[in-house]
Amino acid sequence: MFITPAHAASGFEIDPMRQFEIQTLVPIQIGSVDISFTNSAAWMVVITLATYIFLASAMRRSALVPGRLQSLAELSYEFVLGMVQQNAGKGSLPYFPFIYTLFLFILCANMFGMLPYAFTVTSHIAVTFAFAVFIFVGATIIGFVKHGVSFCQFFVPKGVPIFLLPLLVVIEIISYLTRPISLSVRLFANMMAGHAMLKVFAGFVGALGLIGGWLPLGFMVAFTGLEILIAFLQAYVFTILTCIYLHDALHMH
Amino acid sequence: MNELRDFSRKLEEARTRQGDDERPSNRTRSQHNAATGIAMRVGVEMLVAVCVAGFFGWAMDEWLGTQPWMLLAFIPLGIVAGIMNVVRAGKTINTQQDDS
Repeated sequence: MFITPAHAASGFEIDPMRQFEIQTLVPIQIGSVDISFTNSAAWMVVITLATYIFLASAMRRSALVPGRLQSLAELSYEFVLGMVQQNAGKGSLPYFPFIYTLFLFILCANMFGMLPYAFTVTSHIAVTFAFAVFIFVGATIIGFVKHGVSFCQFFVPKGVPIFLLPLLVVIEIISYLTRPISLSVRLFANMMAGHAMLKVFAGFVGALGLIGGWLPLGFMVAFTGLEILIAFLQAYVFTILTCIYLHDALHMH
Repeated sequence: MNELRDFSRKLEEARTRQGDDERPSNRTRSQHNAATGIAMRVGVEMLVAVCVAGFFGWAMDEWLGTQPWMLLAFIPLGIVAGIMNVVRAGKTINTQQDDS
């Protein structure tokens, strides 16, 4: 890392964006495609294993009266189930396993990101956009499979004078195309901004030292709490919007 | 099954003792959380619609060589689409709150 004299003088450096850097752990090159195993991929493996171990150990001895871990697993299950039933409507249960997995993965990714020295997988738009595009394309395919060509009527609003129709169809299509982008940008921007802000304030603590550092430190404690709330809320919002998009694909209104 | 009935009775008693059955406070908190979720949902919606429409218009311009007309035509459409997204989100929120 390049250290400028200013940094050297104060003895530390403030670089709030360095936490988002992708580092190659195991370089793998196939042809001209770089598919190296990075820190991001490593954290995804950790997250997947953690959710698997959590659910497997919670349900290993499924008792009638659940213990702590089991009730936690049941709580998350019922929470997502309620969300799917309420927002995606009839015929959405076949997609519940996917939505439950999605929720647990994003929640875990956000929460693991709150650990010190951890890498936040969801703070990269490449990751969130991949999720969002998968959901968007999937929902569109489900729509066409369920309704055939008449799914195109989804873009034609009812009860509109004929001369306004072309304009409104274009607007509907734009509104539909914004879905994957707003879905991914929301999660990525919230996670990245929050973590960068935490690092900036951590820098203030160091810069102001023992005398003035207490104020940003107190702010950081409060902000960490808020960040944990946001980590949960963003997972919730991502999942609920997936349910709503699924509802549109299944019921077309 | 007797054991189960016994248990639910005991649970009931314990809950009333603890005051867990006073649901209102619990519900307002979850409603507050849902409201924060909504606020986060709506904010991005508006901006992204304009950006997507703008990009679409710009790409069409590049393709057809009609700078800057497509861009100018699509940005207002994007603004309308963004407002529509926000209104729609508001509508689903209203129906959800009426249900609960």
